[in-house]
Amino acid sequence: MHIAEGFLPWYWCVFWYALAIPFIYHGVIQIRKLRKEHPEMTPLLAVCGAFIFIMSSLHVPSVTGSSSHPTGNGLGAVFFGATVISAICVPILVFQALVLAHGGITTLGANDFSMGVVGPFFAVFAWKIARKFGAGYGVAIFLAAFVGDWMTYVTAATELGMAFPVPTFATAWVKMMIIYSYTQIPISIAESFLTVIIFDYIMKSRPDLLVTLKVIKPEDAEKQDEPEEPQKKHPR
Amino acid sequence: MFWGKKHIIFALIIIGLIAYPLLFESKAVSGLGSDDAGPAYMLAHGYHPWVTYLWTPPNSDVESGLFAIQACIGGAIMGYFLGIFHVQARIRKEEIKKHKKVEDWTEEDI
Repeated sequence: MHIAEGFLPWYWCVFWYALAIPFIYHGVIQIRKLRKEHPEMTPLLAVCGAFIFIMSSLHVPSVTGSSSHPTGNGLGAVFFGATVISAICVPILVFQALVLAHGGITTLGANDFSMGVVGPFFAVFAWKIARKFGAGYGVAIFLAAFVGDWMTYVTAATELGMAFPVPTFATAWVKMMIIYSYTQIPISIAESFLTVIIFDYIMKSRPDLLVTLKVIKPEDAEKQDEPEEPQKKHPR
Repeated sequence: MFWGKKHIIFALIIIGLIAYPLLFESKAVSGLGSDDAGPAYMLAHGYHPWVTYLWTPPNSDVESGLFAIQACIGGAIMGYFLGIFHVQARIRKEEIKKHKKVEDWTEEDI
């Protein structure tokens, strides 16, 4: 979904920067507040940032006959909120633009808006809807990861369709949707399964952090510490 | 133990989704895929980028290597902190176990 350097006209670059900056600013404030009030969350924040860093570097072949990369934005969005991911994505996208020539500084606003704003917001929305309808944590995080990843690519396709409406916006948008979104579906599914595994791992090892973040209920956290087998009493 | 049947099935699905195109879809393995296809469509329809990269990797091998380094850095950070979580979980469970044993002892003793 990384729109390459120079592939958006300058006025679209300004437009996407203007849209993304308030979310990034809010995210920075949220991170500062979180680290001040709950310094114990820093490792979890690092895990979520590193997950996005890894996922966005992996170019995975898709069963649709092309390749693409996952985004990893659903996990952190569910834990910390969408705008925190908007801020976390900035250094990742800058690194990729400057070191890997992947994405771009002029297109940073557009890329952050797709990967750090729309994707995470839809991920949180999917999580909340799924939980509201009684879905378990596994199903809810699967849906959040899938929706977050896929909506990132839908947004990237829309950004390119809007910037380059040739011959018409509808034709360009459909073409971009085929290029980006169609390829992304199987990759999103794979990413979602991986996200469930990592979520389960964190829930099993540090449920207290997820309770503090109000991701899981305290009674579900207590279940994580219950022994798997009933303990046998030692003969005296 | 963390790995249950569910997680093993998930891991197999992930491997399957990645391995299938590697084995049967030769087109899927080349280049950056959809990230290259979008700009390629625009170039084919007469678009000219108005700015270019300050630096680009000299060849695809260097590019792949840099992507691998990125994944390694992320993996190291993630592995380090997940490792800490694992140790913290073990310590917490051992403490809970110890606490329960003491409770058992005092109840029986009384």
